[in-house]
Amino acid sequence: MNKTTEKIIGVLRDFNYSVPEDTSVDLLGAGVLDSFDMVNIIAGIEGTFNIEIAPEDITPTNFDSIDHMSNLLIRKYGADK
Amino acid sequence: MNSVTKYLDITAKKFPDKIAFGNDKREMTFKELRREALIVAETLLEMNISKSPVAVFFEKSPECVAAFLGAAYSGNFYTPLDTKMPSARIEKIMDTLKPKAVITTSELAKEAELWSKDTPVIVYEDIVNADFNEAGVPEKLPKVIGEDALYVLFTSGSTGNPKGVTIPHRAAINYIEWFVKEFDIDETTIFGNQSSLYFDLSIQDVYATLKTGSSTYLIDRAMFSFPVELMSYMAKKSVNTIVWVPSALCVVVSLKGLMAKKLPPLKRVLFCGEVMPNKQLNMWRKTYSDALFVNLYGPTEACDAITYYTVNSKFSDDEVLPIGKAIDNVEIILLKDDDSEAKNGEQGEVCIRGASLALGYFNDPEKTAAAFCQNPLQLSYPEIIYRTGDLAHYNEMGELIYDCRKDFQIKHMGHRIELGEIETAVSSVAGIDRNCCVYDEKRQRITLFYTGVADDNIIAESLKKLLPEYMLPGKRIHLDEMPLNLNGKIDRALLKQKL
Repeated sequence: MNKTTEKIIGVLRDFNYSVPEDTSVDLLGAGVLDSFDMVNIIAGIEGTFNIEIAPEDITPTNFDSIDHMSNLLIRKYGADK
Repeated sequence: MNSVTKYLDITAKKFPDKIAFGNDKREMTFKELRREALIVAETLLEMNISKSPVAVFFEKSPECVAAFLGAAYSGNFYTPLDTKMPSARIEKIMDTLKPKAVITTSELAKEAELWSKDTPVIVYEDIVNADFNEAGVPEKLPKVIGEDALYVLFTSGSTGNPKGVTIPHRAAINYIEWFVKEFDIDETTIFGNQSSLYFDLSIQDVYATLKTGSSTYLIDRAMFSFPVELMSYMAKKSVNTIVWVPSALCVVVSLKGLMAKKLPPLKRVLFCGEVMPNKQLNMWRKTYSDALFVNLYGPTEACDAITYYTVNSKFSDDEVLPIGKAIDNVEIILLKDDDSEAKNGEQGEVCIRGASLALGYFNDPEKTAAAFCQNPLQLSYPEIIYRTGDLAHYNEMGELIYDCRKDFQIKHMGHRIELGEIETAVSSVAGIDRNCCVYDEKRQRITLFYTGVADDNIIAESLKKLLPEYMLPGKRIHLDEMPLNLNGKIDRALLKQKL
């Protein structure tokens, strides 16, 4: 597991979400996350990584799983592998 | 006007091929809506169901609206059930409601059979796809008067049993007539519906559309997590009017939806269901400076909204928005603890009289009598008022200002929740001794304090089977001992300090 993925799991745990072992699990389809959770997660990630996520990046394809969140942060926001 | 179905009769003639309700799967015209509603009505009449409750178990869809109206056309009344609700809670509602039929879709039929027991289940697709000849059906429909029940909506009850607020046609019509006139709603209006159809915040989306020939797009809940998609969808549908819970407007701000995409036609932004913070509202007002912004207030027991405040002056981020003044045919009385009227800016309980009132709580005369009582200011003839449990006062401009609740009811994400209902569910979990829920306003989450040997994960899993998602405590804290106050009751104030 890379550093960024670990940090994202930390953010999710902070908000009391039960984090699946498999980081590729679809969190949206399973109904784990709703819009208010998204607010928490975006704010949590922005605080932890000290970045600002652009509105157009807040999409289902970037946020439906921990892996995809991690990919986005590494690809576009210079987070560590 | 005495029945909401008259709205549809008239509009289906005037705008037969105009879109009434749409979602991502289907766009239903007024003509189609009326046809399908009449099929549902005929099916119920053939089963000899009249003046009875009918449960409607649908995802948010145009077909769900047709099922509602089928119940109404046949002189019955409907209860929408949240398809995400745990079956334990649905069973409680079924015990109180005792519906004569459940209408559902082929997709959900299996699930409905888990709790429907002996109640007949009608599968929508089965009846709607069969041949149907409208001739003769309207003549068979029973007479409906304004006092007949239209729907029963279940809200959280403090002792653990949901209460069925029973709304007559008269109340819905009173609200809709005012709403349409006050906000110039007509066939050019396009609503972007946010609320679930099992909340009364959706009442104007449904019935103002029927009355005026406007269109309503039912927006999928998941879209609110991704405001860029949400705004693009609304732009595509030319949505110009929204009536949302403040939480939804705030989510759009937090997830940067206002910067992402502007909706050129947005003309009306109304909100209802909880307190709208001026901080986020100011961002909306800045982005849509030409739109009308209105704060609506009202309990389910008085059909959606009974006061309104048009936001037309500047408010700083920390100011409180008034809830304004009463709508047509409704009066607010502020009563003090001794049942005398609060005057000159004094605080009192918001009590409502007038045409928007519910008939009471379904199959619950005790709770009905406690909340729907004789107007203490007028004892010469019977006159019912509804006591909301909300405390408010008038400011110097004569505008009503909401202060707080009298009891332990909270508003969380626009949902009205009795903390007692959660506590009752928690106490049913094995290994729990005592428990108390406190609302953490700052973090907007419900915090559960408990004593006992129950395992935290088991509590979490058990509660998911008992409570709807929005009632689940966001944080659970184990205590060795529950703090008590001098009266021997759980010290909620002390627990609040522990947040």
